[in-house]
Amino acid sequence: MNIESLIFYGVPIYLIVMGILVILTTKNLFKMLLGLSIMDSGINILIVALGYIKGATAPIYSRYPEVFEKVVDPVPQALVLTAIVIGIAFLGLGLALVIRIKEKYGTVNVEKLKELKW
Amino acid sequence: MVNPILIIALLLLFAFLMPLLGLLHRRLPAFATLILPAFNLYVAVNHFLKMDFIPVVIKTGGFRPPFGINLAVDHFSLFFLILVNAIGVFIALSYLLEEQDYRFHILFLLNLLGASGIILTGDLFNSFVFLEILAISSYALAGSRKEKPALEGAIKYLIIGSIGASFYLLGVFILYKVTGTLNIADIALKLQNAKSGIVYLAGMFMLVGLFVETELFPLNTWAPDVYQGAYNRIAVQFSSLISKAAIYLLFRITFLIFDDPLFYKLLLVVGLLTFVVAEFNALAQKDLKRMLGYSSIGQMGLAVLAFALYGMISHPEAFFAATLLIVNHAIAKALLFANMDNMSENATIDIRSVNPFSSLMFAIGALSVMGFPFTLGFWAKIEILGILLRTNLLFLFFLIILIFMVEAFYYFRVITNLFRGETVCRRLNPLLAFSLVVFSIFLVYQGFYPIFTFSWLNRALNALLNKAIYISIIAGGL
Amino acid sequence: MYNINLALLAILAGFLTFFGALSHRVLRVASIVIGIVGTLVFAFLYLKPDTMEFIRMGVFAMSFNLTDISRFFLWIIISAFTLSLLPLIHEERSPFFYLYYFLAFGFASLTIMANDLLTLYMNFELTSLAIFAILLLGVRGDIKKTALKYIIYSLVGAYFYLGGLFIKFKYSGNIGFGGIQNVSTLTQIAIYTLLALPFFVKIATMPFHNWAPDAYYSASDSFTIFFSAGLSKVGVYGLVILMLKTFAELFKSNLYLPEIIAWVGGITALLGGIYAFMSDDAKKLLAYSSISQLGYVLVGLGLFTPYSFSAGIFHSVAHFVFEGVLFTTVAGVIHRLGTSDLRRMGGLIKKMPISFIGLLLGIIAASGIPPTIGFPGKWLLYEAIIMKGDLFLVSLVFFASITAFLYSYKLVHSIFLGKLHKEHRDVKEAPAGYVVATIIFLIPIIVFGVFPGVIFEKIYGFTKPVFNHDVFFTFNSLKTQIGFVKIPVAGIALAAMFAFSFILYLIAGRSYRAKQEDNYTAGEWVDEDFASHYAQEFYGFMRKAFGKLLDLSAEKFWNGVLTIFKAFSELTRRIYTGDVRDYALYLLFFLIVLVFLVGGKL
Repeated sequence: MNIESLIFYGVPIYLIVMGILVILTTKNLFKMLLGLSIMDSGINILIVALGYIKGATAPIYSRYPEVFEKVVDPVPQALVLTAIVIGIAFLGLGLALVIRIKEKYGTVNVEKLKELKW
Repeated sequence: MVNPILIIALLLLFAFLMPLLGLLHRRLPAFATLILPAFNLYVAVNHFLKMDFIPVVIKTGGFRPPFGINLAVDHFSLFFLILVNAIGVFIALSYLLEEQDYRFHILFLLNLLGASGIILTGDLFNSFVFLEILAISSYALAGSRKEKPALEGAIKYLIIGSIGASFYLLGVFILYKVTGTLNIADIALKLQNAKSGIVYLAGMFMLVGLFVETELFPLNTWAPDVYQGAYNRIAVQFSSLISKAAIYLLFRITFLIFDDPLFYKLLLVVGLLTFVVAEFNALAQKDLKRMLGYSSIGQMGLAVLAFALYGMISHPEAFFAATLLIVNHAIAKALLFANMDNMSENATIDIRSVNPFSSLMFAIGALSVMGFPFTLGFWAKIEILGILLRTNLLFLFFLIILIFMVEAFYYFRVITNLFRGETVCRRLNPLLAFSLVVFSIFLVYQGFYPIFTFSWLNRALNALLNKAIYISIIAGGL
Repeated sequence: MYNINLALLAILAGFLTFFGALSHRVLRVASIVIGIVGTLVFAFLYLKPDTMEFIRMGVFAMSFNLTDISRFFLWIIISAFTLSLLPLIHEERSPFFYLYYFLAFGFASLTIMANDLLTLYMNFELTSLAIFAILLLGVRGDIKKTALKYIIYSLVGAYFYLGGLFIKFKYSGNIGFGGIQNVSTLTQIAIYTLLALPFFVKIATMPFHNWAPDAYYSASDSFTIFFSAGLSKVGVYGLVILMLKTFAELFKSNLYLPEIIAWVGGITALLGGIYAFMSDDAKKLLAYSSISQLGYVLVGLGLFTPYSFSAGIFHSVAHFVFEGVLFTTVAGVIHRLGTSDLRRMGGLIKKMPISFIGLLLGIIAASGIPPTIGFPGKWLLYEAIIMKGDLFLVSLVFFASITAFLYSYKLVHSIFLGKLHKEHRDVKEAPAGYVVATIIFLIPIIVFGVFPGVIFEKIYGFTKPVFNHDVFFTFNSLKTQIGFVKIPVAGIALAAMFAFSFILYLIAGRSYRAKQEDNYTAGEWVDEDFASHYAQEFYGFMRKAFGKLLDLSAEKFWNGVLTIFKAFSELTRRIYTGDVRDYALYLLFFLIVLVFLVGGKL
């Protein structure tokens, strides 16, 4: 486990764990959404990192075959692109919901959001 | 025959065109919402009846699988497609006259798109995308009602759902890393013989994502809140459309890719826990919609339990029981939730006044969920008890019977109140009444003569069980 | 014509009556009459032994068959149904009521004609549902609670039955009525208990009887006639089928099972009788009386000797007849008086003479006095128990019979004898429907009481294959190894005693025609408000003696069971705390558990 792997995988995993911790501990709904966002970013980075091949270059189809020797796996990049867009979508939706909650409840404190239980 | 890809394409197209349609005429979006699921239904039924018993591959973008994304159409997918779109027609028809806001129709079509996409797709990442479309539109639909309960449920659903979806994505990617492909059939082919440990990990991640959508314990915590808070038609959608598409995916992936005793055991335990906890929770409820929501969760748990018993007894009857239960539950719950429109707001189990029509509809729906004789649910119950007995686990058998008694108790508690309350003549939406009557007649008719449902179900299951053919044809990319 | 068409026609008639009742009173009456006539005509002309399959699905087919046993019980139900329809003409009910009534009859007949366990289950459930619907249209008491109690007791029993059905299927490979081979005795007993449970509930065996008093009290009075006289026989039929066809070998060979069941029946008979004479309400008293009499039936069936079994079935026919007439007359009284409280009745003998005679003969039959129909069954039952040597059981049944005298007298005195209340001065005899039904009921009370052989012949027909016993009866006498009774002789002896006292009365010359009030005031002049009707605190002394017994309640036990379930559900509720952070935590924990699960594989 060299230093490269440590950074490449450690950072996203750290982000994921941090994201989850934020969700678990914060009382503010808005911050929870941020935590979700962080977690999402972590996962995306992890996927890209796992798709990396040492010494390879970006997977862009080019006219010059000599550069075309070693490219990184393009599939994870496509995956992540889609995942980022999906992340934007749910983040936007989540924020809209939070705004509405603020209108109705007057607060974004999660502990006040316990009307429906049991 | 119409190409099934039109199902997805048209849904997407009209979802985008909705604002335009809304501008042209205020009733147009509603009609479009009715026509599309009806069209899908027609296509699906047509294929179901006319297609050979060989899965069909539909290529997209000109790439052959396993390189391109493809749709995989076999009778099992068609069966679920029919179910999901029939519910779509039900919802569209019942609320045709009422809903004018085109934004709802956009969300509805996207939801339907996600569901149909999950059912049709043959590619794992594609399933993730459609799963996300389904999930996000359902977050929006859950929160569409601007009341406190709905918003609360929606935000909780969103948070849990997103975490789950992220893990699903992770699981998909790990599978890709291991097998080098994203095609479901191809993955199944490659993993048929040897499964390395990391595949199990991927499976677990994916299951976490799926369990959220299929309302299984302990990830279904959002579900009662959503069922309680959302509009009734959204509750119908959740119980009969969204969870059914998700459970299709669960079944497909488990059976094709993760065909392993460990997974079946896990599903067995999770299904059992879901069923027990949910049904007992339903007993303790005062709010009627929440009670129905817990009942939905319980039925999903029971369906997964039945499915998982295949791992123990290796008899296709397990799948039959699970799918029959799913069909019955989708229709009966749709009936129950849509009928809530005829009852007062904030209905509790001590409901005091109803009109006779809605009492009858509730009674028929409840009897079918309970599995009373001469409803479709009865046959589902018989099948489930049959496979339970095959496992020779008498303790489990009697436990399930005990929970059935609990279920009967809390449903009859409400029925007694319904038929004993004062009668109120509320203005009934005629289209809603029509849809309710159609569904209730179906349940009772199939209770007397279930041959129709059984034969279709058998056809679907034969297709599912024919794993080898599925894999060879779709992975081969004919 | 298929036999099940009887049921289908009944259901059709139900819908017709529904529409008839919706439109006009006359139409309602007319459709009821059509229902009665149609049922009887069909039954006479078209019922014949016949097997029929309705739906076939793989291994299962819904099949019906009219065997001897089915036909026997079907006739009881048809008679009870048509007779109960007569008083119904006078009652004003919602249109749905008639529909459910006919449906209950239709499904009950289908249940009896069922040819396998699953068909039986399906139709039995629908009968229960129809009865539930009728109970929801009840006339007094806490209707919601009563109806819910009824359906839950029925359903719980039915679910156990379903469990037993599947287990039986597993061991015997079929769901027909045949027996099970190669299974241990304990398993057989377990399967029997599971299968018999809903029928025990239906005939209100203790401790599953709690639904019955409330249900009988709440339900509309003519329905109670059908309920008690007719529908309970579905339960008896179920037990008979199980014991004769499926578990005959078990009962013959096992020493304990017959004893246990007979004792359960005996305790039901005794306690039912005690609760009966403790009741202050006419319908509740009759309800407990019905429970008690069905307890005798259970003793007979459970003991499983040829005599006891025949006695049990005969007594269930007797039960139909005398409970039928009792409920009919009481229904008539309630119809005229507007109350069912025994303490508010009295002295109606001159106002409602036909009802009085009906009730009188009914209670004579219920007490088992020759030559009424109540006698042969009880006599034979005693003989059978004594022959088996079980003296404790005999004592128990004997004590139960004493309670029958007690509540019978309470009933007749509180309603017809004693003081006539002022508000009832203008009461007339019960309406025609009740009277006609009463009179029709009286015919079998005497006829089959004097000539029980007619019925025993039929019973012999389907019990001989199992017990292989000799004929023990003739047209009008019964004979066992230890006893012999010629019923006309007993009847004449009884009549002779009456005749003797009557002749004494005639020739003594010291009789004086007293007014009705002098009957209970002994010539004193009392205030109208003076509480001189013995119906108040009837058997008050008994209450001191048996009071503690009444606290012992099966209902409390079952409510306790329900509370345990509810407590558990309160516990599981707390999982869903409402806090989204907890929910995320659940997800995380679950994930960690899953990862550990696959940890070994990595």
